[in-house]
Amino acid sequence: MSDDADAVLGTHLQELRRGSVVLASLLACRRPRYGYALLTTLAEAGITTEANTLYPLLRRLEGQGLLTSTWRTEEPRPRKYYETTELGVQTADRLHSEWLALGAGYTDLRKADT
Amino acid sequence: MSTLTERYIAEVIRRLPDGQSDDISLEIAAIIDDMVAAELHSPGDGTAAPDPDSAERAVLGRLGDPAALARRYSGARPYLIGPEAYPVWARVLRWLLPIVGVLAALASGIIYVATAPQAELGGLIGEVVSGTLSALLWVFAAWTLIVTIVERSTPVGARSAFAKSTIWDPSELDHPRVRPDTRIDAIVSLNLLALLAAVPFVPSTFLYIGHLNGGEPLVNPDIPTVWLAGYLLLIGALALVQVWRLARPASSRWRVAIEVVTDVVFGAFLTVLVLSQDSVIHPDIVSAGQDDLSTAAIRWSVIATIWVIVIWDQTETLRAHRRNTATAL
Repeated sequence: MSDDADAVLGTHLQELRRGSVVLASLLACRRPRYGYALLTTLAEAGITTEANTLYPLLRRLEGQGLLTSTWRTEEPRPRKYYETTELGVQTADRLHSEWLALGAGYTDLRKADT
Repeated sequence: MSTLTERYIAEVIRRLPDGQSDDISLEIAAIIDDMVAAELHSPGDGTAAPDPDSAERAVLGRLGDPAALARRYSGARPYLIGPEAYPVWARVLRWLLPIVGVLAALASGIIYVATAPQAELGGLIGEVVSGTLSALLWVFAAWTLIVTIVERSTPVGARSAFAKSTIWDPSELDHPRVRPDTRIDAIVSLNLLALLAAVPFVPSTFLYIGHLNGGEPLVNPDIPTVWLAGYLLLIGALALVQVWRLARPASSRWRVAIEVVTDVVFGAFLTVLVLSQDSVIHPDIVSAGQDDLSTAAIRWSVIATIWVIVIWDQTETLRAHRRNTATAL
């Protein structure tokens, strides 16, 4: 693939993944997780994201009432844990349904005319 | 926490509102600690475990420019006018700038003529250009600032006050769009007519030739008043047609016919005026001692120029009518 084609693919992949980190974070934080643990959990699930993107995103989701946060100081170093709220769970369910519907739609399109 | 990490956090925090800075400061410190610990345990590039300083630098490198991280935390928009507000911003400017430009030009011109001891063309042009330009810049800057402030004060994710409704109604197509150049053309024509109307009253000092006729008007004062009245009357009629175009830009056959007839009558009037009078221009301005041949040459050149302008104007009028009729279909 040429450099131009790689750049185009990179742009489309970024567009495709843009909303997936939100859903992944809401699903992963159904049990409390601190920032770095969430980053590694997402990476293990195949949803790669940069630290400098994820942490501001968590704060934004908290501001929207989809996550809640608490500082835990009993550990060797203080950590901020994020947990999905009831509204966050409902939002994640809706997003997940949409994701599955999109996946099914793509599959149908791939099968069509082949 | 090392000095390097402290400096990195300070660079992020100084770009954030005070209310957020303490919590974000603690959070970034915790994140860096965790990432450095992970880097020391298993370096990202698969090489041997680095020393703490190298690990810290690698982590800070991955977190990236502190200014960019601060922008992500604060939700600051990295643009002046965003895509939601842009259509309204641009549309208001398209209306505002021409109106303010015309008003500023008129005001500058009137103030100059009223206050200058002896009005001259160069001084008038300078005043009008500088007054208009400064007014346009102020309006552009003020409107842009208003939109920017409103947009910056709208929380991320909330609907902008300048956002257009996304619902578009096909009934907008019921009334054909009028080409904006109809209005612009009318405004330009009105300005030219105002200049033509002023010609009989402009003193020669205005064009720096006051020494030729003692600062009297440019036109011959011996031309009977009835000609001057007719001249102003016809210009008034032409101006009325342009006001009609301004108020109702949609083209109509009636108006085009009236426009063409008025233009041709005005051309014929000027032709008769030039042919019937010894000199339309003030006789002291016309150089003395000209023979009959050169006087006739000047006279017929003026008449030719009048009709070139009249014919060109009719061609443009008819072409604009055809364009507008085609757009309206």
